Amino acid sequence: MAEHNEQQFLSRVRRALGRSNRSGKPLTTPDLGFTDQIRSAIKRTRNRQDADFSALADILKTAAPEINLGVEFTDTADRMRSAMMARIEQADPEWGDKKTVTAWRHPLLERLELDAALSRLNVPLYYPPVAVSAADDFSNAECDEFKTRAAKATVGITAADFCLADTGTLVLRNRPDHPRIVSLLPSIHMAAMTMNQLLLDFTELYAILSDEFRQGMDTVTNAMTFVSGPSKTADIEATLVHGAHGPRQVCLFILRGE
Amino acid sequence: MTHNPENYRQGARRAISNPTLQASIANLQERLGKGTAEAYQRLKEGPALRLKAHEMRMSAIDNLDGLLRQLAGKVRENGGSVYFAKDAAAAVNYCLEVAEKNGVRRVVKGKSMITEEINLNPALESAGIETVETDLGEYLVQMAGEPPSHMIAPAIHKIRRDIGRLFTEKLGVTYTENPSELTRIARRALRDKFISADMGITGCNLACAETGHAVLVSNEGNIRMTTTLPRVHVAIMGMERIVANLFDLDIMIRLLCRGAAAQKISTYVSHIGGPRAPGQLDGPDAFHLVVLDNGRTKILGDTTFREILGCIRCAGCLNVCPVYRKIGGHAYGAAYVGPVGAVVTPLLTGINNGRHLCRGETLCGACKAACPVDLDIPRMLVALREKLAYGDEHWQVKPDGMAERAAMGIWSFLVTHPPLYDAAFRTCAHIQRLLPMEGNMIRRLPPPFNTWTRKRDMMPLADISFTRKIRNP
Ligand code: SF4
Repeated sequence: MAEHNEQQFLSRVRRALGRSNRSGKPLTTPDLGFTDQIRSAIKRTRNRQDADFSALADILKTAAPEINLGVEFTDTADRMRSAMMARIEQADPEWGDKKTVTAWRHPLLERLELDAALSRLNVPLYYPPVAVSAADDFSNAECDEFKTRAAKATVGITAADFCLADTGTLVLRNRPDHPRIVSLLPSIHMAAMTMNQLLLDFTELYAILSDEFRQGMDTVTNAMTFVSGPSKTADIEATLVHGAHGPRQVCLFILRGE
Repeated sequence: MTHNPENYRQGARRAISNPTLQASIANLQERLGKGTAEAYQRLKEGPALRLKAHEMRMSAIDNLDGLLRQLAGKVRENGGSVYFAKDAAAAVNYCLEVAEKNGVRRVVKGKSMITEEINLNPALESAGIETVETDLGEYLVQMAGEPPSHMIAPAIHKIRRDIGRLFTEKLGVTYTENPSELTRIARRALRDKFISADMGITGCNLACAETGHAVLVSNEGNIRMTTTLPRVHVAIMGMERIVANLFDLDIMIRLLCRGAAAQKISTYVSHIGGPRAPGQLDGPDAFHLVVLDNGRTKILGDTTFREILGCIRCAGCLNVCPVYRKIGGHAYGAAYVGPVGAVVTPLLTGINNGRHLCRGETLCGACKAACPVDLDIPRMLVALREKLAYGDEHWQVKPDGMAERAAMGIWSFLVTHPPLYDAAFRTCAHIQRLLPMEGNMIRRLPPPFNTWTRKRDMMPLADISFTRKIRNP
């Protein structure tokens, strides 16, 4: 049924385009000569030195305030942790009486030793459950339980795949251990990353994604999200208000020198 | 929603006599119209990127059959389902089937014009499914029982006092008219809906054929909620909203956000490529992509109007249109309003039916300059008027405005016969002395010309015509 539908639909489209119905022509994806641009963008990103990353950091510093994104640069993991703790201490719980934190399981976040620091503040920290094996899936109950925790959390901590300096955009890709609700449901979203994950702009990002995709990698994943600052709306008399549905604050912590 | 010349006139009159609405649209246009023009200037490729994007859109449209096949293949490979819907009824039925199969009782919706086009909400509601709009502006107009009046600022016609009262009445909260407070109230009310919804329905700003992703933008985060929390996600796209690959996507997304809200990028851009994979904790268990025709292949088949399929529904043209500025969205009486609506609505619902829409615009060209993909809306408006004047078989247009045509016939005869022209005008110059004058202007013309002078005076003809002056100085 669906098969038949689709064929009829597509042959109507073909007819409208004035092509013969049984056009056996293989599909050619129109490529308006961008391949060179992709190549040069990739080369640029690969050859970046420390000084180039500092220049990107400067661009980010101007872009971030425009979209109300907080950015903090730190030199060590310890400093980054203290910076995060300072903000968590100030945060007020919004969706429950108790302040809680939820975070991705991620190597960079592990280095921050958040558990110990948060237990000193007496703030519970919830990680996503671990699947027993790669082929093992979560039950509905497990998914729901984590959803409830994330929905009550005051702060959600993620590790960005990239940050685009030009727009202050965080790129978050959906992978096991990296649930997307951690950057969505809590009142405050904190993201960690290292300097070398800075890119200039969308063109560089999409060039990298294109290139990896064409090599057969699952690079866009089944849910890739760009986050540029806190959730906002201007639907009431065009007045800007933060925290429409997503986090009302977003802060990015960048580890220098790595 | 219905549109016809009478509703159009009434809607326009109502909007013009509503000072708050006039002020809010003016304010919106001042901010976004100007902002968008500046945002194009600041593109790293310069404003000429719009022309490149135009080429890109047209190339995608010319390859629509191949791209759609590629997209469908990719989405299925990624674990999603694809349904090709011939018309509104097919799309609505598919949504209802999916809802029934999954025992859906509550639907949350991301803002989408296409679901307005197919009239989805009433169908869901009458199947006993609670349907909640989650974009704050849409939520407000849904609560008030009104249609949206702007494609990206649906509640532009509402002022904070109305909203405060609406919330007190419908949600039972204490009255406030502070936008932050009001937003917080809606945030809480909608949060429960998101968490308990069984199905999320969204539109699709663009789909990437190469990778099989539906790309959706939002500032509020409601799209992310809608595509992440419920068990089932259905995305509905117009069949033309497709880009070939990630590289084109880069350019289109940047232009879309600039055209829509003069932003470099909206707060969230979601690339949805299928359901939750094993080992992932969130995301829907099922993802459906509905590709809608509903009259689009007919547009595709006519090269005069094919260009309008390049539209990415950013609403940029609304933010500069002098007609929209005065008459607002409701007068258009359809899902798509403003300049783009004046072209698309007649094409989708019948040119004779929508004759007032393409005639209502001024052909000033502001929309073309504001369009991120440089669509020539004025050209298409004129082409529609031409179909109306002469009739058209493909579009089943009956000639309309015979009187005007006859008048134009006489006119063209006169101007090509100078002695007759001269005689006719000298006669008129004599007769006009009988008309009521005020100062040196004619107050009223006799029927059938009196509609012209109903709201304005007219300059009388000169005693000696220009031609005579030139000939006998
Ligand atoms: S016609 Fe152009 S400006 Fe108007 S909505 Fe479509 S893409 Fe935007």
